[in-house]
Amino acid sequence: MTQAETRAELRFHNAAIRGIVTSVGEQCVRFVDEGPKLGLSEAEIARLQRALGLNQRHIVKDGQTTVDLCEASARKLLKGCDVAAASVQALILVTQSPDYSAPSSAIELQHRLGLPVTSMAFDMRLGCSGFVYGLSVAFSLIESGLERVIVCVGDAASRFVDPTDHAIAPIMGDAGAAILVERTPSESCFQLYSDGSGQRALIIPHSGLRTTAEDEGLSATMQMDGAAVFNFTLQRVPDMITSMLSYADVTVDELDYVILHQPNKYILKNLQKRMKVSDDKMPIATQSVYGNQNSASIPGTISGFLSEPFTSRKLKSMFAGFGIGLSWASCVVETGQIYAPPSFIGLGD
Amino acid sequence: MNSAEFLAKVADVLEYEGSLSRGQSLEDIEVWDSLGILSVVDLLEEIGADVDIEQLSNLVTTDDLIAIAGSAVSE
Repeated sequence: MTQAETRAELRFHNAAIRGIVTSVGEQCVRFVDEGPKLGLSEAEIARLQRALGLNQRHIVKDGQTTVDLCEASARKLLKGCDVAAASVQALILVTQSPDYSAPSSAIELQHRLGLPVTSMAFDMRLGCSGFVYGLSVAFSLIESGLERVIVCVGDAASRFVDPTDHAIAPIMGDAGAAILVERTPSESCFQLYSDGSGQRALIIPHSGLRTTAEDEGLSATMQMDGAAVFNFTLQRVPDMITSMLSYADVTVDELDYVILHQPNKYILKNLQKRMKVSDDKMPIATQSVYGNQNSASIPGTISGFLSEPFTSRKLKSMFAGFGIGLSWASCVVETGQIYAPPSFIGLGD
Repeated sequence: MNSAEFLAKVADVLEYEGSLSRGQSLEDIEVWDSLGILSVVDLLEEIGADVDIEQLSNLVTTDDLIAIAGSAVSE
C-alpha cells in the first residue's frame, strides 16, 4: 500500500458551518501583573512580552469548567441561529478537561442544553488539533445522514497547569466554543495526522491509569517540552499546509483566511514566514489577548478578530490545528454569512 | 561573515548586554534559555545553516555555535 493510500483524507459536499460562538474566562490576567508572582524579573517579563507576545489572558473563576464555557456558547449559538435544541441530532465535545474522566461530559452537556435523548453525544479527547478533528467528525455525521450537529471545543487550561510554572502558566487561556454544523451543499476537505512517538512533548502525568518511571516526581499538571513542541510545529505544519493546499486544489491567494491554532506570536510569525502568508490573511494575536485557547483557538480567533468578515461575506478558509498527541490536522472549508458574534467574556449575556 | 561578526549578531538576537567571546560557556549566558535558543535558530536559518533546537540545546561553548553555523562563518 502506498503512502498516499494510507492518508486520513476526507472530502465533503453537503456539510457546512452555520454559526460559531466562543466564550472566554471572565478573569483577565495581565502578564505584567502575574510575571513577578512567577519569579520573573522586569527584564524577563519585557523580553517574553516582546518575543512571545505575552500580554494578557482570560481564565475561568469560581471553579467554572470547560463544560460551563461550552454550555454558555452553545445556548447563545442556538438562540443566535434560531435553532431549537430538540432539532440537534448530535453533540460532540472536544476537550482534555472534561468534568469527569467518566462519563463523557458531552452527555451532561446534552442534558443541560435540552437536546433530546434521541441525539448522540460523546467526548473526543484532543487538544490543539481538536477543532479540526471535531469538525471532520461532525461533517462525517452530516454526510452520513444527520441534519444538524453541534461541536463544542475548548479547555479550562488554567485548571490543569501548575499556576507557579512560569514556562506554561502565563501562556494558557480558558475558552469554550460551540459550532453549529448543518446539511447544506458546500465543498470541504480535511487531512488529519497523528504521531504517538511524541507523547511526552505535552502530557499530564498521573491523569489516567498508567504511571511510568518518567512520571515519578511529576505533578498531575501539564508538562511541556517546549523545544520538542517547537521542533514538531516547524517540521510538520508547513508541510501539512502545502499538502492541504494541493489536496484542496487551491492556492494561498485563493483563500480568504489561513487560521492556525494560536500557541504564541513567535511560533505563528515563524510559520507565517515559512509559508509566505500575508498579515491580512493570517491572524496571530489571539494568544496575546485571550491566552492559548487550545482546541478553541481557531473558533476563538474567528470570534475574537474576524466576526465581521465571517458574518457578512462568503469565505473560503483554511483551518489548521497542531499540538498535544502529537496530533495535527487541517481543512479547507467554505462559509457563507454565518452567525459569528464577537467573543463573550464570561458565562453571562 | 567572520566569527566576531557572527557572535555580535548572536548577542544581538539574544538581547545580551555585553559582547560574546570565542570559547565562552553558553551555560554562563543568562539569556541562553529556550527563548534565546529559538532566536539563534532563526539567526542560523537566516544565514543558511539548517539546525534544530535539540542540536543547539546540546552545545557547550560559543565555539560550538560557530562550528554549527558551518561555512556561513569564517574563522
